[in-house]
Formats: sequence, C-alpha cells, structure tokens
Amino acid sequence: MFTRTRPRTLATLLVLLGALAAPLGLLAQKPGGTKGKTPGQLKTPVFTDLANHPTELPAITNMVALGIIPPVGVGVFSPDAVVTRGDFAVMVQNLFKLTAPPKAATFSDIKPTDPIFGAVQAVAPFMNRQAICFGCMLSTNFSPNVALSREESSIILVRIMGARKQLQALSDQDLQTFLNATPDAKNWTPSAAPYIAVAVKSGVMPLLAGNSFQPAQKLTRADTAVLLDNVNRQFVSPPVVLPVNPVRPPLPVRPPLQPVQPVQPPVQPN
Amino acid sequence: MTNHTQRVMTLGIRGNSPAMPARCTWRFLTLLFLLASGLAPGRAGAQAPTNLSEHGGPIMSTVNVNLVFWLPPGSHFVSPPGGSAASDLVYQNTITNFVNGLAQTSYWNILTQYPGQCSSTACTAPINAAGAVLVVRTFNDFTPYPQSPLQDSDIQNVIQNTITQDGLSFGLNAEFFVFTAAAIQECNGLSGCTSTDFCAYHSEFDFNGGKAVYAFMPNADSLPGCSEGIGASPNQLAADRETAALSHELFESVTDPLPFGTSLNILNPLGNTAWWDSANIFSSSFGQEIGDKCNQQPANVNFNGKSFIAQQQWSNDTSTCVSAFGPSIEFDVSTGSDDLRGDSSATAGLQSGTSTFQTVTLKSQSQPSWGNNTTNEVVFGLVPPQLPSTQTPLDDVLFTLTSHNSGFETSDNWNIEHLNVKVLDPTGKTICQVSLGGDPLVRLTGNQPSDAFAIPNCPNQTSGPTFSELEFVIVTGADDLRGDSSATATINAPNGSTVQVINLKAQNQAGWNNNSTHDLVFALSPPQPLSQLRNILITLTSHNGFLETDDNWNVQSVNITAFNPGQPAQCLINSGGDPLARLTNNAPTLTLVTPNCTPPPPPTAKFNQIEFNITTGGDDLRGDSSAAATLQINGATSSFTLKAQSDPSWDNNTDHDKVFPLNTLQPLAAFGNVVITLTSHNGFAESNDNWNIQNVVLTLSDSGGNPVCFANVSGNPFARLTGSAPSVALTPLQGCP
Repeated sequence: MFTRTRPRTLATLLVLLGALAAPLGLLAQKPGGTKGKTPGQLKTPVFTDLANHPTELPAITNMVALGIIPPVGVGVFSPDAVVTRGDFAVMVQNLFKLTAPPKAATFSDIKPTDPIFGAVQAVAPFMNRQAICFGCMLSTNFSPNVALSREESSIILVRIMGARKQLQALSDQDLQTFLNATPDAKNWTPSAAPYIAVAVKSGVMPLLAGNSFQPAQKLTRADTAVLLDNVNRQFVSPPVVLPVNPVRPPLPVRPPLQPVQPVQPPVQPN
Repeated sequence: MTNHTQRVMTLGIRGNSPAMPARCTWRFLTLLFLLASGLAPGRAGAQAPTNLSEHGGPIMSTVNVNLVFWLPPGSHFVSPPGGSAASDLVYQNTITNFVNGLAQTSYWNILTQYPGQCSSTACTAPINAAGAVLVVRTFNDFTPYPQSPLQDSDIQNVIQNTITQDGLSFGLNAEFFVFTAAAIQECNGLSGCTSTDFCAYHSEFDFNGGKAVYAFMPNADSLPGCSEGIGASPNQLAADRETAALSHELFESVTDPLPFGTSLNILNPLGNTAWWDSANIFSSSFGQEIGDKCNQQPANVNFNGKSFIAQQQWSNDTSTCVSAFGPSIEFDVSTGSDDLRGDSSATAGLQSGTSTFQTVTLKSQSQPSWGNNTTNEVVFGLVPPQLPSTQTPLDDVLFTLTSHNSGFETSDNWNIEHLNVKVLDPTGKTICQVSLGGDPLVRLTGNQPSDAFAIPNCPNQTSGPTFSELEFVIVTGADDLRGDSSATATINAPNGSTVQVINLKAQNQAGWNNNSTHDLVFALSPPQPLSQLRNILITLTSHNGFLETDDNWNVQSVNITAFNPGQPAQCLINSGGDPLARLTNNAPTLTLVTPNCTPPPPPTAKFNQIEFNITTGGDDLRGDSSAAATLQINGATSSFTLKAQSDPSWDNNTDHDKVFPLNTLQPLAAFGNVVITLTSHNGFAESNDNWNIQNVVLTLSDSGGNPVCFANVSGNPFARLTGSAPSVALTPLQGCP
C-alpha cells in the first residue's frame, strides 16, 4: 500500500511519478507503437495494487491513461472494488462523450450541483431500468452508490452502441438459439434477454463459467476496465487514444469524480 | 380520416395465433432498427412513442382482488407521528373502496383495449362490468417481519399461507396484494430494492400446479422517489399514494399477469408474457408495461361519488397517457378459409347515412397476417369521444381490403366468416351491437374490395326502451324562487352534448314560495333512452328589477321520473336535504347525476338512538376544548356533548365513538341536520383551538338494532373547525350509499 512517507527506494519513486503522471497523460510509451487498434499502448504498470491482475493490466493502464477510468488514489487502482452506477455513468460519459438530452431526467437523489450530474443526465436515456426491473413501478432514484451488475452494464452499452448504429437486434431465430445455449437464460427477465444476447454475441460482454451469463454479478473496476477498453477498441470510432507524438499537451484535468465506495453490500438474491 | 396512417401504427390488435405476434415483433425489430435514425439523445430529438404489443400470453378478464395488510403490532401504514390504529383503518378502507369502485368506470375501461387470447370465434378481454374487479377478501396479518430487508420469498410465503389457511382460489382471475408498514424495505433479486429502485411490483409464482398472481405493495409514502407527484390528497396522503401505486400494478397485472412465466421456445422467445412495449430494443421504452409508460403520473378519479388518486395508464388508441377511455367501438373479426395476408391492410369506415364520420384501421400493412380460421379483436375510441346519437346514428361499417402486392404477387382475397361489432359507452355498457355470420359472410377481393355491414338501430337497439316524458317534483325550502326569477333544467348526454333544455319556471310565472311543492311534466322530444340522460342541471337565473339584488333559492328536494306509455316509470333522481342546494348568483346551478334514487328506508322504521363515530385528522381537539352536536328532530333541537372540557383531548388521527339515546322513537323523516361545534376554553395566553375532522359516521338505530346510515362523510380533512368557523353541518343521508 502506498503511503505518504518519503520514498525510500528508486522503484518506489518511479511508481509514484508514474501514478501521478497517469491521469495527466504523461506516461511514456513506445514511440509510434501500436497494439491492436490502439496505437497509444502504454508501457509499464503504474499502480501498486495490480500484481494479481496481470491480464487486466494493459486495459487498466490504457483506461486510466486515457482518463476514462480515474484511479482511486495516487498509485492505487483498487481493481477488486465494485463499480457503482455513478462510477459507471462517469466512465461511460468519458468514453462516449455523450450529449445530455434536451429535457433533463429528474432523479430525486441527484442534484444539479452533484459532480456526476452531467454524466448521469447523459447516460440516463440509455439505462432502460424497466428492462431489468420488469413488472416494477420504478422510483425516481438513480441510486448512484448501488453496485453495477453485468446486466445493467450490458443494457447501457448495447443501447448506446445501438443508437450509434454499431449494433443491431438479433433475429428471433438467433435470439432463441442463443437463449437455448445459455444455461441460466431461463432465469433472466424477458425484457433483458435481448440486450444480453446482443452484448454477448457482439463480443461486448463475455459469458462466464459454464457458458452462463450471471446477470446479477457485480462488475469490479478491473472487469470494467477490460470491458470498456474492449468497447473502445471495437466500437468507438475512432477509438479514444493517446497521441503518438511523445511531446504532447496533457489531457485536461478532470474534476473529481464520484468517490469509489468500499465494497457495497450485495443486493440479496431472490 | 386524416389520422388514418397514425392509427395504423398505434393500435393494438390481438389475434388467436399465439406465435404470430411475437414472431412478427421480432421480425420487425430488425426492420425498426434499420428505419430508426438519430437515436442518440440530444442529436435527433425525441422518438415517436411506441405502443404496447402482445406476446401470446394470457390476460386477466376479471380480477378477484385479495388485499393482505401485513402489519405487525406496533407498526403503522402512516409514518410517525401520524401513525395510529385509526389511520391504519383509513388507509385500509381507502384502498378497499378504491378497488371496489373501479368496475364500470371510464378508468377501468382503458383496459378493454387489450384483449387476450382468442379462439376461432371469440377473444377474451378485460371486462368492464359490475363485479369485474372486486375486493373479495381483506386480511390482516399480524406476524412479525422475518428479516430486514424483506425478500420476495417472504411476500410469496405470506400469500401461500393466506391461500392455504383460507382455502382461497388463485390463478388468472385472482390477484393478491401484500401491503407492508411504513419504512419497511424489501429486495427482489435482480430487480433491486425498495430503497434504491422500485416503489412496487407485480409478479407471479408457481403454486400447487398453478400460477398465483400477486403484487408487492410497500408503503410508497415512506419510500424515497415514490411520492408520485401527489401533494394534495382527497383521503389520506399515504393511502392516496398507495392507490396510485396499486392502480399501476393492478393494470399491469390485468394486461400482463405472467411477466416471468417464461417458456423459452422458438416461436416465442419472450415467454408467456402479454402486453408490453417491445417495439424497439434501442428505445428507452422497451420493457415498459401499461403503467410504466405513465409512471408516477397521477390522475384524480371519482368512483361512486368519492374522490381517489390513481395513476394514468397508457392508451394504445391515442398513444398517450389517459385516465379514461371511451366511448369505443369493438370489432371481433373471424377470418374463414382465406386469410388476410401479412402485407395487406384492412379498414372500417363508420358511416352515418352516406357519410363516413370515422375510419379505423383494422390491420395495417406492417402487422401480422390474420390466418385462416382465426379471430382478431380490435378496439378504437370514437372520435370525437361521443356515442352515436339520434342525430348521427351509426348505420353501417364499411370494410375495405387493400392489397399491397409485391413482385409477382396477385391481389389478396379475404374471407370473413363472423363479425361482431359493439359500441360501448365509457362505463363498458353496450349501446348497440350486431353479430353476423356466414360461410363466408363476405369475400373481399381485388375486384370487390369493400362491403358494408348494417348496424341496425344504433344507438337505440340495446340501450333499453325510450322515454317520452319527464316529471319533476321540486320542493322549495326556506328561501323562495322569486316571481321575477326563472329556472331551467338542462339534460346532458354522456358525451356532454345537450339533449334538451326545459323551462321549469319562466320569468313571468308566479314565484315558488317557501316550502312549496311543484309538480311539472315535460315531453322529451325525441324520446330518449335512459342512457342518454346522464346528468340534469337545474339553474336559477335572476332578472333583477330596480334596486333588486340577486335571488337565492333553497331547493329542498328533487324527484325526477321518466315515463313512457305502456312502460313502468323509471326513477332518475330522488335527492333531498336541508336544503339539498342553495342556488345563488355565485352558485346558480345544481348538478344531478343520474340515476340517483337511493331507496328510502321503510316508512315504518323508527329510531331512538344515534351513534357518532368521529375521526380526528392532523389537528387534535385540545384537552381544554369541548365539542357538541345538535340534531333537529321534528323542528326541535336536541343537543349532545361529544367531548366535555374535562375529557381528555382527542389526539391527532384518533377515533371516537359516542352513542346517545333519543327520547322517543322517530321515523327518518323526522330527523334534520346535525351540526358539530367546537368550543375553545382558552387558558392564559392560549389562542383558539383548531380541530381537523377526518371522518364522521352517523348511525341511527332502534336501541342498537336495525342500524341505518344517517351520514358518512370523509375528507382530508372533511372539516377544519376553528375559532372563526367552529361548526360543520351534515344533512340527512349525506354520503350514505
């Protein structure tokens, strides 16, 4: 865990500098180097808590460097912390640069002065909360501190990319084939199934063990980095990238984001 | 006519081939996607509203409502400090009365747009008739809540126990509503929790080989984000918010009772569901049911003379949120051995004489085919919202088939085997109907694409006999109708149009003196069915002479009877009071809604006891105040002390019952007004007391036997007594059923 005491080793000093530089887009990178569709591939991990996440490391590094996912603190990413609805709204807004609708959505727990107000307004039209809470009379709460589920994130991303004409609905035949091949599909709400199917079939969201989707499972920050990095590469056209020129102006400093909460008490399964 | 194309896109059509609508829906999803443009908010403006479509599952045609009030000791439905046993009772009664008032209203009539599964000759549909929705049982469950937050399984357990213990029936004609106390939280797996996501929900579960339909009704008043935009409240704020939430869930249950009855199969990927919006997964309305599309948009409704708060509901007919539907026209069309092709369209022109006053689209080109030997039901609101009248009768409907041939396709042919057409008023009453059949009844082709079906005697065919005379018996009270004043009676039809205006007293006729009776008979021309006589407005007009002020007129009673030779007389109005109404320049009109003929109690019944049941509202009757009541009996005044100065205070939301003997047995006619009066006895520096009265129930009886309602009034508050307005008067039978 990084502390505020004086750095005692060169390695620690480098980590500190790297962490401070990351959000500002000051990380070194391979000149002109590219990997996949993202030319701005970063070079070294800059966080002290990613040792157990080597697979997710490139995505995390990229998302932080691009300013899409803010770090939790200096040198700290908290990869296993869950992402909240408020967090995700900010991340999605950072990635897609969505425009808020002309008529603001009214949430009883989000005030115009809240730092996440703009992001919530921009993302709200794509949430389709009714598809998840089928049969519910919805409240006017946004509930920014509630942990985000795989189902919720799938719907939001599919809706956004559908609006951008990058995804389309499955035919009834393809939908049924997918539902038959997914063991836990019989437990999904009917109105959420089409979104989950599109998310999986388009590669936005992977299936989990046993070919199940597990819609209620919460997304960690590491999961989300991989998810959004993948979406950025595949669907954001052109992808959000760091400039290739090693001498470049820093990205604008973003205002403080919704503080990431400690692990939320999970919503009790039915 | 000009809305023809729009209607094609908005009307709900229900056929008897369960697979077809869903298949079609999903086939069209791709098409809709390709057609959709500018979906990003802020880039291309709002999307056109999409309607509910049906998905092959059943609906509820009638609903036996079971209300389960789960209220462990010490908990209440009204949040502190207002919660009490009395407020719980008001909460429960308001909800019970709301449900019992729903049938045969224009609000419940909205549901008739959403028919259910069809056989080869007919479709089931939500019925708007007496008893179509009814509270069959209310239960009070006092067991403690097992955990916090509650889980959905806890709600299901309560319902299972109730069904088992009381041997109740369940299935697709029964719904169980479980209400919990203020501030009780619940979580429902994937859907979220009351604290974060929802205000109520409906669902279903498997039980004893069948399906139990239910709704969980947490206390909306105490949940964040569930206030529903309701500030002012006609009954009790907590109860009114709950009736709005209940209407949301009840309507959704009727139109989609099995939201999770999924049976994944190739023909119906969306399972066993019925009506919801699945037009476009890239629309924010995807997944919404009838209530969701108008979520938390309240409406004031009036059932049986009582005001309630409901939620607006979606109307496929107008693609808007509404609180009433009708009058309407319903078509049940059975196709014979030659279908109506998927790419064909069909319309019906509603004709009066040779002119078409409305054209409706039975099937649009984009809707699924009507297969051989299937029946489809379609329902439309009449535009403008008025029933066919003697001036504009519905003489026939002109069916027209239009082929939209592609490639080498030839024109479509369509065999119609049965046709049922009904015109209904907003309360679900059939005004006229016709049922036709043949093999085929008609065959529409490219060469002969149209045919007309006569609707004989519409509107008069089934709306009962017509009446040619009205008798008015009007009693003037303690303030006369002056000689130079005039009075009229305006008779209005259900659609608001004026049927006839009658001059009860012309300006040049003699005045109607105090306590005089006037018996007048007028011709109804042309004769009218009772269904056309919806309300009667009696209006005073002053014609002031020099220095004369406006006239005031006390109307003590009005009795209106309809006559026709050879038929029994029909009571329209039989209302009285002391006065029934005082007409003045500021309030010159008395509105009488027909029929209102409460049968009087037996003339032999006599009473020697009166019981006062009074509920205090949000402002108490102070300990040092007193309250009294006076009662007019044969013109004499009897007084009763409801609360003496030395009695304890009547706290907020408390219930008080007082019984007083009367000196002698008296018939109902002997009793006049009751006046309740607050008297403040202010201590040092104390200001006058104010007292909110929420409910008053007065009962006359013969030493407790043969009780008769004498008054039954409520409000929020019904009356606020203060130092400057310390009294409230109740008239005999006020508010009594």
